[in-house]
Order: sequence, then structure tokens, then C-alpha cells
Amino acid sequence: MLILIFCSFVCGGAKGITLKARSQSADVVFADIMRQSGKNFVYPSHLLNKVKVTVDFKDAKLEDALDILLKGTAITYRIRGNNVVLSKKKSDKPKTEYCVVSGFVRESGSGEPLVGALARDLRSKTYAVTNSQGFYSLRVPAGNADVLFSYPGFSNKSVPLGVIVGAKALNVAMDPDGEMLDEFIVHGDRNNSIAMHSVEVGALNLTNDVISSTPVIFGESDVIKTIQLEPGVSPGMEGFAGMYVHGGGADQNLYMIDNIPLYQVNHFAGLFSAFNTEALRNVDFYKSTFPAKYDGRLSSFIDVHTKDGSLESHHGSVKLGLTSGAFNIDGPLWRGRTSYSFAFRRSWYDLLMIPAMAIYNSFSDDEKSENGFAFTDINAKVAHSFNERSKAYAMFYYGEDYMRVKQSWGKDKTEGKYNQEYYNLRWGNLVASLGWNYVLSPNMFAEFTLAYSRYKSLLRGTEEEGYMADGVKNGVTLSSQRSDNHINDWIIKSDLEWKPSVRHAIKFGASFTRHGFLPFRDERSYSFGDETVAVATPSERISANEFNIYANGDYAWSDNFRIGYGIHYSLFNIEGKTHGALSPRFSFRFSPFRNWSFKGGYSRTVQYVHQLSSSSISLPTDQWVPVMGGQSPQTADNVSLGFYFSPGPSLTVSLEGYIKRMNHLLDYSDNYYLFPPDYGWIDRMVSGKGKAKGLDFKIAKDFGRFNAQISYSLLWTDRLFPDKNSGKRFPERFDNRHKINLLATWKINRKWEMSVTWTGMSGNRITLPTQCWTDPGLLPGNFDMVYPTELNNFRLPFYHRMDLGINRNTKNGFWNFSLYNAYCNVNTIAVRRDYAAKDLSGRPVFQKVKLLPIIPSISYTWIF
Amino acid sequence: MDFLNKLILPFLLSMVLSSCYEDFEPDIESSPVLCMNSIISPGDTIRVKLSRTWRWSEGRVGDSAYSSGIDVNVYGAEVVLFVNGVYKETLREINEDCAGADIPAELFPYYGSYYVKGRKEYVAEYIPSVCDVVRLEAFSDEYGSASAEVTVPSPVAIDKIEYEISDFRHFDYDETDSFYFEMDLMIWFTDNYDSTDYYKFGVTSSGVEKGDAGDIEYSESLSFRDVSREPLFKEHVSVLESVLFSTMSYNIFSDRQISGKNYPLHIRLEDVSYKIEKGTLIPGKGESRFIFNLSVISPEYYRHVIATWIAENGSLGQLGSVGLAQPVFAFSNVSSGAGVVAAQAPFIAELPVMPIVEEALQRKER
Repeated sequence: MLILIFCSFVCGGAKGITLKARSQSADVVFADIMRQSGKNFVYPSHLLNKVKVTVDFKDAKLEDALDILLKGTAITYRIRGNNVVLSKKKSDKPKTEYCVVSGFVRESGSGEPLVGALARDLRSKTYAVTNSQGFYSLRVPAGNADVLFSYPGFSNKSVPLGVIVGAKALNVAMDPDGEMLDEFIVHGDRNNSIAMHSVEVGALNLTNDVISSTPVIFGESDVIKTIQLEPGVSPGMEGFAGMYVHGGGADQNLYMIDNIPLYQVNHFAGLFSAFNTEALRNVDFYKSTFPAKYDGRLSSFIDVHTKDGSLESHHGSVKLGLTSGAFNIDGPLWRGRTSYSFAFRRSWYDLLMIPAMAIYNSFSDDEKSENGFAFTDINAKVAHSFNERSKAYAMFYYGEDYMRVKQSWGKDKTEGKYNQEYYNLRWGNLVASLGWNYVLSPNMFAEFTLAYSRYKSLLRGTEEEGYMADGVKNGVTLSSQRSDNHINDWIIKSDLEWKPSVRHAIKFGASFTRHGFLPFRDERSYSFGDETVAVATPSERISANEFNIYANGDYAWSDNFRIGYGIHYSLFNIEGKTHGALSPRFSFRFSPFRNWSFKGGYSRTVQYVHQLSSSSISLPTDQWVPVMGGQSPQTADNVSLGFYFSPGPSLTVSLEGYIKRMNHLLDYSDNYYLFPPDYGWIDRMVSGKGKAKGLDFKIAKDFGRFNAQISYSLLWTDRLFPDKNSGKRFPERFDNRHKINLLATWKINRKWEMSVTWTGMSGNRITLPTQCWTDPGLLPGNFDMVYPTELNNFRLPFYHRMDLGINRNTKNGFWNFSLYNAYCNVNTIAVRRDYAAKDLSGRPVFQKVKLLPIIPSISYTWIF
Repeated sequence: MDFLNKLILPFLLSMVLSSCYEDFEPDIESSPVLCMNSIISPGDTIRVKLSRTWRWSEGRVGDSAYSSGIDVNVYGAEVVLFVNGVYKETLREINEDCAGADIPAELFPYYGSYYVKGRKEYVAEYIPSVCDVVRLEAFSDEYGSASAEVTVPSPVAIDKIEYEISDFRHFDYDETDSFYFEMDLMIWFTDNYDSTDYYKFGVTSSGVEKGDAGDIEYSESLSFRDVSREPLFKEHVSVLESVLFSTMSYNIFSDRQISGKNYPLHIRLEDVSYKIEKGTLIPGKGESRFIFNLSVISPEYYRHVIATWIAENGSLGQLGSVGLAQPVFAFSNVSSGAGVVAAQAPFIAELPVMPIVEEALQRKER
């Protein structure tokens, strides 16, 4: 750039400028001013090109003359001593500056954090999602902002912010639907808007209301049974809370309670899950692509968030159902600062059995029996807010199944033989955690956690025999047996969220877990007289250290293209050997048109601990064991693509496809049961591969009072173990090729609500041996020897049923009436080999074993 | 007792498995294969039984009242014997029938239904010895081939038998002297240190209902219930199975926990009843005795028995029968997947009952 400097060689005093020109070239006019003022004019050569000016002033000051002269032009000036510098004016358009709106989204009244709520600036279209503590950080252009908050089951809330500069704290309280007027129908879709906006494929956020309103068996609302209605999730055995996601196994799901792993998630052999609905707030579920924060299981991640408790007032409920009762209370310990939440649930079965036992015992003087079974859940939490930026909490969960069998014969006699048996089985979880959340800055949030998680199973039994002579025991023999297994985890972790720019959000963290395993211990003894014989399996306590570090980014490349990227690195050290694994994650979301999204992603997951289970139900003999010996960690590579369409807040359509490859899968060998139960578990295992592919389709429509959802999933999944099934590939048991779910809820009026679900799916696969061979005579008795066949060689008939649920709201609570299998289609769950009974021929036949008929249930929940 | 012992599970399952059943024929093809069974003992003739597998719904096998009379015999087959890798002979085919069966008549209630007229049995001339590796190969034009190999184990001796009598009662009837008591025994044996061994143990009795001792006629009988609670016998029974399913077990065990040790099996006989005709209680003349059979069995024998126990009594078998677990297949070491070729080496020890009774009587009189 050429700088022209006009120097005045005409010296003069500070006399005024007199000038008259009409559409004169600017540089000519400036030359005249320069001459009159005696100043030097400095400016780029092109600055005055084509600039015409019209002026008329007399004896004016230099500044006034320049103001008049440059008015309406894009030129400005500065006077520096004897120089007048001309330059182009800076643009009137201000540079875009951003400010941060951050805070917590909570439920009005209770102050409970809302997890997964969407905060969206309607002007810039930027958005943020609240984390597990309800915190969000939204970067918006400086100036006016209008933030819309939405959350399923709650009314949308728009907050016009006006002009904002810098950082702004904005805490929002949202109103649940139920508190709105009848005429005001709020659109809180079940599928939720996160599915549309997040980069993850197959992500879902379920609220307590959704879970509670889904009809299930015995009227016991259940997290896992609600998730079973999602496409891509096979429920396993009818009536049980099984979960087989995208062809994965039962132990490939990581269940967490407030982000802490929970190992045993079933009660009553799996009829109920361990999550008490009264204690939970919402559930995050991932089944296809996974945030880098999560690893350690192959197929899915379920994070159950429990209630903090109300900061304003005390609330509670008492629920009485056919199978269990629950009590729940929460409220402030220090209003506005500290809250508590406590929930207790217990089953009734042992109480129901008391009269049955009494009747049974009344038939015999000698024989007495006391049997009982119960499960219990206790959830407790205390949360304290030091200020708006700092909050701490303590969480506790205890869940246990308990079974007792006590029988005696002749015990009360003074003469003769007697026998007494006592068995006591306990198994369950204990989780305790301390957490501290701190808002480091408006765009950075941190959470630090110290936790302990334990699963323990203890089975004990004794049997005493002898004879009584004159009321004195003689010839006493005592057999006792004790088996136990457990896993203990000590966990310390930190999770941070950082929003460095309006388009970029980063989550990162690290954790360390000290595992303690006791895969199996068995002790038996036999005493007679003074002598005792004892045999025991050497207890095999194993320790392992697990270290995890991750970083996960979400970057909006443009308004219609976002990417998610992440990396999770884990180390698992056991018996002097260290396994390391890198789990990359990638996902994208592309929105070529408004309301349309295409997503895709890749996730690798690694699993170091697995569950040994020999049945399709949950038993106390199921063991959690680490990868060790010559085993390699299980891995899965999952590629998924999704298409989403949402023309409005009331309609969401999604279609997701996936391919999953699983390696180093562990399973029992073909003849593993030939080893004694206390035999080393490693030798019973074989390693193999698995694959799964399929499509998940879902359409959810919100009609206001009436909501409906239809989903369909298509699945192929199989396994290949070189040392199993003669090395041939075989279908997975829950290879439910087609699965259809319908769900409809209808809020008839303030008093009545109704929900209906219908499930139809291809039957489970079973292994059905068709042939027999002759008994070799090694044992007394005749047995038809079962000839082996290929695994899972038979598919059960198509399964379908409908469940109905009706809620009747009363002044202080609500009644729930439900019908499981409403049209009483008794489905086949197995095939057995038996003998014909109908025609009395006794000929051998194959028989379909048909399961649950219609099951009505009723419960009442009193709310206070 | 047993009924109530299983009360919990039925209660659970009754809520779930309020089942109904529907007969049907699954659309699964199945082709019969050759089945070969044989139990080999050192010093005994090798006998091999051949049959074919059959589809469950084809009918019942055997001569019992319920049998469908289906023919699972294999005709025109050939069985070849190899010992220690050397061909020995092609086995001789004979007709098996009840009369010719090498099974005590009193066990016919257990075995009889499997004896079908016309079934062939194959008999070897060679008498096996301990440590022989016996290989049997069978061929049938219709059902293909089957082969299996087994090593004949060495017997392990019963070193010593210790016993203790309790609750001894003597009833002096007009015709007989009757003795009732409980008996705790320790059967001592020494496991081989350098091998993995499997055992089977059994107690029976022998005696005569009518007999003579010189010129004295007498009758006697001995009966009891074996309620042994030896922990080794239950090493394959878990606590859960004890609670939910069955505590019943076969007296089969491995040396996993006693390897190389001198160990006593703890045997309890209840309701021991010894009756002898009045006036014949002559020292040294009674013939009834307890017979203890400790057999070292081949691993194949052990696995087959364990698999059968699991299928019939274990948790897996019970759950598998209602679709809650995979079914348990019978163990087979035959190449076709059907049949067992197993071996056993028994050691028999006897304990006459008369001295026990006399000793108890003397003690009681003192």
C-alpha cells in the first residue's frame, strides 16, 4: 500500500478553513484543506479513489471541516500532532461475541435435577444437554437470547434473556405435565428430542413417569422391562427382567446406579429388577454408539439416576401391591440447601407363605417346616448444595434376596429318630458413594466420586440327624456346607465437562478401580460323634487393578453437521499380567434438511469381567469373574447408521442399522457340568466369536392426551466357538428375528389414565435333542440317554401378548390395575420330552411348555 | 420331607410355570446312529451291546408294559477288539436274553425293561487285564461306525474297616432272634498318588434265607439302609441343588480332594436288621455279611454317571426341562455320540455280621 504524505509547505497560523465544492473529487478538496491548515495528510493511496464530496463552509475549524467533509463516507480521521491520518472506518457491524449461559435445570417444587434436559437458544439454534446433575452450559451469541428448555414429561419452558453480556447464570425450574391445566397439553415425547439432536445412535433417556406408566407383570413397574420394549432389545425368557441388546449376552450390559457399576440387577431369579422405581429419577440407555465415558461391557450401558430429594418440602408415598410394598420419602434437611431421599421396597412372598406353612404343618405332628423368600431394596441419598457452584452427595443402595428353608422331622420327640435341615441363602448388592460436583467456570463442570460396590452370594446349609433317647440326642451326625462368591470394587473417579467454544463440548475423566474377586469357595464338613471330616476348595481370592481414562468431544462443524469423537483407554492388571485396550469412538450427525438427521458411528468396547451363568434366569450361583489365565479381554466393534425424521415435536421416526462383531467371548464348554461345582471355573470356559446385525425402527407420535409408539426390530445373531457345537456356528438363543412393540398411553382425564403394550416376536431358540440312546446300565434305574444335537436348533413359535394398565388417580394417590397377557395367549417358552397323558397311551411325545396366562394385579399408591 | 424340601422352587415356578402342555412333532430331521455300550472289568469277559439311536417320539424301548416295542437292534454288525493298539479279534455275536444276561436276577426290576428279545451281544475271547488300553470298533451297514477306547484301571484295596454300633436292640421272639442297630463305618483306602482316579462305592449284603451248617438248618436275613453322608459322595451337589432340587447322589467320587492320601469313607447304615432263626445263633455259623465294593472306575464311567445325575437330579437338568437352561446331554465317549465304553476295577471286602452282633450282645450284657 502506498502511503501518500502531503506536506504543507505553506506555514500559517491556526486560521479557519474556507472551502466550497460540489461533487468535487475528495483528493482535490483535501489538497486545498492541507494548504489552508498547514497539516500533513496521511492516507492510503486508494482511500480517496472515486470519493466525491460537496461542502460549503467558511472559516471553519479543521475538525469541523473534516467532520462535515467525511460525513456519509466510510472514511475517518485522527489528528496526531501535525499529521492528519485518514483511514477507513471500521465496519458498523459488530464482531460476534459469545457469552455463556449456564446453570441447573430442576423440577419445580422438589428441586430435583433433570438429567438429559435440552436447553436450546432459539435464535442461534445452539443447544446443550444437562448432565447427571442437571447442569448445562450453553454458549450463545452476545445480545438477545431466547432459551427454550424441554424435557420429556415436562412442559417446555422458554426464557427470553434479553441482552446478555459475558456469562449468565440461569437456573430453571420446569413444571411436570401433571401440574398443568387440563387444557394445556404438553408434548413430552417418549422418544425424546435427544434422539434427534445428539450425535449418538441408539441413545435413550427414560424418565420415572415413563417407566411407571408402562404396564408390566404383577403391576411392578420396572426399568428393565420398560427398556425391553425398545427395538433391538430382546427380553429373554417371558416374565423375566432379561436384557439382550443387539444380540449380546446378559452380562454384556453395564448397569450403573448414579454412575457406579451394579453387578446383580435381578430379584427373585430375575422376575424383578433391582431398581426400585420409586427411588429413581431417570435412566440413560445407550445401545449402539457409546460416549467414551462408558466402557467395560460390550453391548449396552444403563445409568440409573436416583432422586436427590426435594429442597422445599417433604413428600413421600406408600405403595401396596400384590407382590411387594414400597415406602418412599424425601425432603429438605436444610431448606434450600440439603435434601434427603429414602426408599424401601420389600416383597411379600414370605408373609404369604406363612399361612400355607401353617396349614401344611397342621397335617403332621412330626414334620415341621418354615420356609421363606424375600427381596429387599433400600435406597438412600443425601445431597447438600454449598452454593450454586458446589454440591456434594452421599448415596447408598442395598439390595438382597433371601431364602430360608428350615425343616425338621421328629425334632420334638423324646424317643426315636429325628432329622433337621436348615438352608440359608443370601445374595445381593451393596453400593455406597460420595460425590462432589463443582462448577469450575460457567463452561466447565467437574464431578469427583469415591465409591464402593459389592456383590455377594452366600449359601449355607446344615443337616442334623440322630435319635432321641430319654430326650437326649444320640448318634448325631451333622453335615454342613457353605458356598460363597463375591466381587468388591473400590472406585475413585473424576469426570469433567468443558465447553471451550460454542461449537465444541468436551468431556474427559479418569477412574481407578480396585477389584477383589472371590469366584468360588466351597466348604463341606461331616461330623459324627467327636470326629469331623472337612473338605474345602482352596479359596481363590483374586485382586485386580483397573485404570480408565477417556476424552469425548462433540463438535458442531456447521449448523447441520456435528461429529462426536472419543477415545477410552483402559488397563487391567491381574496376577502380574496387564491387559491394555484402546476403545475409539466416532459418530456424526448430518442434517441436510430441517427435521431430518442422518447419524452414524463406530464404537469399540472392551470387557474385563464377565458373569458365569448356566441358566437363563438369575441364580445366586452366578459368578462374576475376571479375565485371567490365557483368556483375552472380550471386545466388540459396533458400526451403526441411523436415520431420523421429526417434522414436529409430536412425531419422531427413527431407523437405525448396526453390525456388531464380538471377539474373545467366553462361554461354558459343552460338557462343563461334568466338573464338580467347586472345580476351577477357568477350565470350564471356552473362547469364541459372535456377530450380530439388524435394524431398529421406531415411530412415536404424540397426539396430546394420547401417545403412541410402534417399534420393529430385525436381528441376526450367532456364535462361533471352536470348542463348542463341534466347531460349527450356531444361532444365539435370543436370536429373535422379528420383534414388534406397540405402546399407547391415553390420559383420559384428570382421574383416569390407560396404557397398552403389545409385544410380538419370533420365538427364542432352544436346543431340542430329538434322539435317545440305550442306557449302558452303569446306574440303577432306566434312563433314556439324551443324544446330543446342534445348539439352539429349534425356534419356538411366534410369541405375542398384550398388557393393559389403568391408573385411577384419587385425592391422595392412585390405584393401578393391570392385566398381564390381557387376551390370554399362553405362549410357548420351552419344549420338553414327556409322555402323552391325554390318550393314556403313555407314548413318548414332544410337548410345548406354555407359560403365563392372564395375570391381573392391583396396587395402591398413597402419596403424601 | 423331600416334597417340602422342594417347596420353594415349585412355589416360584408355580407362579411362572402355571404351564399347560401341547403335544406336537418338531420339524427337525434326525437320523439314527450306532450306539455301543460296554463295561469292562479286568479278568471278566468283554461284552459289547449294539443298538441304534431312536427319535424320542418313535416310542418306548424295552419289554416293559409301557414299551412300544420298537426295534432298536442292529443286525449284521461287526465289532472288532484292539488291545494296546494291537488287533485281537472280531467279537462273537450271540443272542442276548434274560436268562443269558450276566445280571443278578434281583436286579431285573432295574434292568429288565431294556432286554429285548433278539438283541445281539458281542463277546470277546480275550480277557482284559489292568492297564490294558481296550479299543472297540463297531460297523454297521445301516447305521455307520462307532469306536471308543478305554484304559482298564487298577483296583485300589480297602485297607481297613472300622465300625461302631449304636442303638443296639435285641428282640427275643419265639421263632427268631432279631437285632436292630445303627452302624457307622470307616472304610479306609489309599488313593494312588500319581494318577487321577475315580471311584464308585457300594454296600450290599449276602446271606441265606435257608441253608445248612452241617446238620443244623437255619435261616437268616440282613437288611439295612445306606444313608451315607460322606462329603466326597456329594462333591457334585451344590448347596443350591440341596435346597431347590435334590440331595440324592450316587456314591461316585474323584480323588481331587484326597489325592495320594489314606482316607476313610464315612458310611452310615441305618435300620440294620439282622434276623436269625432261634437256636441257630451259633458262633461262627452265621453266613450273612456286609459286602463293600470299592471300584476304581474309568473317567468315562465317572462322567457318564455325573451327567446322568445332573440330567435327572441336578439344577441344570431340572431347569433345562422347563426351558430355563440348556438341556444336559448324556456323556458318551463313543465316536458316534451314543454309548459308553467304560471300565471298572472292583475290590470287594466283606464283613460278617455275626461277630458284630455277638460283640454287641456281650457288651450289652456287661
